[in-house]
Amino acid sequence: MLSGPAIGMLVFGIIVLYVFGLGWGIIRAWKKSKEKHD
Amino acid sequence: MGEIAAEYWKRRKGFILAAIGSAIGLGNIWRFSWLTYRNGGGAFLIPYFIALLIVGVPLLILEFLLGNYFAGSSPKVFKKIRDNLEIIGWIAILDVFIIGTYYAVVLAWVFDYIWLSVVYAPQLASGSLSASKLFSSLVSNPWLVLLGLAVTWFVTWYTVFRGVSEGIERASLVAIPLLWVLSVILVIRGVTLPGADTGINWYLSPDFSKLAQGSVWIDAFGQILFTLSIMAAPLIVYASYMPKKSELPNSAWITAFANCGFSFFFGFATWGIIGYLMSLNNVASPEALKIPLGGGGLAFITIPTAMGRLPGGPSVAAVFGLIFFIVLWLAGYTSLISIIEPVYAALRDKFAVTRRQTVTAVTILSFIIGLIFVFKPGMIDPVDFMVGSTNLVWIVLLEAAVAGFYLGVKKLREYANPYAELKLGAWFDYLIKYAAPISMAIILFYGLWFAKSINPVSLIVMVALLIAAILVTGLKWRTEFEEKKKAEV
Repeated sequence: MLSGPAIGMLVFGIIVLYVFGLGWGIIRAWKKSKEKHD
Repeated sequence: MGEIAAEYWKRRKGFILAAIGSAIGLGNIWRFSWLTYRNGGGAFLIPYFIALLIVGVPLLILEFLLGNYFAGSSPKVFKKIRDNLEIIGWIAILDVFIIGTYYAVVLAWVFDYIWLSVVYAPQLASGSLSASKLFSSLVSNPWLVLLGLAVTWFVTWYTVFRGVSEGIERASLVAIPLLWVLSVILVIRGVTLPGADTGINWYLSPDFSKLAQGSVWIDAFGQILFTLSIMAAPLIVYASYMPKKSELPNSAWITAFANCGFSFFFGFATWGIIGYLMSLNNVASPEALKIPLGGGGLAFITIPTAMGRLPGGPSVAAVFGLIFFIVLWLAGYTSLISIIEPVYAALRDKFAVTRRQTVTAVTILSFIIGLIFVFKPGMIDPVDFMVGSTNLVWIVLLEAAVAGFYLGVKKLREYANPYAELKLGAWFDYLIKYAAPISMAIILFYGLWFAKSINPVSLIVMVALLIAAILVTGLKWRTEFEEKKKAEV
């Protein structure tokens, strides 16, 4: 079993790198390209 | 000399994937998770994330803007900023050229391991051959390494030879998604092994007291610089192939987070496997395994050792060994492309040479110089200390300082913002003018202070590089600068 603190840092990593970082960047690009097409 | 037609990426996706390919390299696989473990586990993610935000992303955006604004390679960019700064660009180009010569040799070992890990899977599984013995017999057999080197250079040459959209873009569109898919397979295998949770606990359990140590912060900032391929050369050239009025800041953001996200993700494969080895050997800490937990040792000794002991016998060992080394090779190959392209672009900008002849000549020269590292692999470390580490820090320091204080970051911001999905505010100026140079200066000072002694080989390489940079800077421009002068007369 993963320890509580390890799970905490796993969630932190996913949030900062994948949600705030990569995800937000891709959404910004997608929104702009949608605006252009509209 | 005839005019050389400008080349461009066909799609923005191609540019971003090529930039991600440049950034993701061997270090993402064998350095990041080891640094994390060594520097307080999951707590290391905090300085790493801070470094990414205040230095990594801004410097990546800066390199994209410089390349696109001045539409050329580093020497052209620096010369356009000011005539007598051209030499900085050449130092950067020669530096990456030397990196390519030994990086390709390491990739040659990786290439050989793709088939060695299959051929020797039964011996590794039965324990009749140890992974460390396999590695030492490879390194001490120059002919085998030469084979891997020839294949690695041939594929790289062919990719760059084909041009920006037909070669680099097409290769990136295949290699980067494949790299991710194969990595997903490795991570799934890693985290489902018996004992994987123990290893991942070691990888991620935070020790926040470590954040009080300066060395942890230095490691985080240094890793961000190296992992993002910020070297004042590859990404400048890649961005110069985007048309004017292109979106750049958000592309840099996506590149940076895709790169760092990959490192974080791959750590689960590595530490799942280390946890598995810990449970097999019934030891309480990773150190007790007495095998390398990072660097080349992780890839060439620890992983093959673990593969040989995977549940399912030699055929499973062969499949996962094959996948691991293909992933490693793809990561390195897409980086090696981004090392050769800026060398060509710099020579094209100054001497109006053609792609095919120049790329062929640069590749052959790199291969020949690389023979030194094939026959004397011990030379890699001292050369890397200078060109792959120390030089990059001060070159980027100069790049940020020149852009910040001489060119003016505001000018670049105003150039980018009308087309940007991520608007650059005054914060960008402060990060480039102060945060980046100060961070680089501290990393440089710390690195040299703790180097204890500097190998004479490092110094010889440094002197040779500087002499070459002075000589090439002194040669006449055969392209637009000369034409401009003629027009003025």
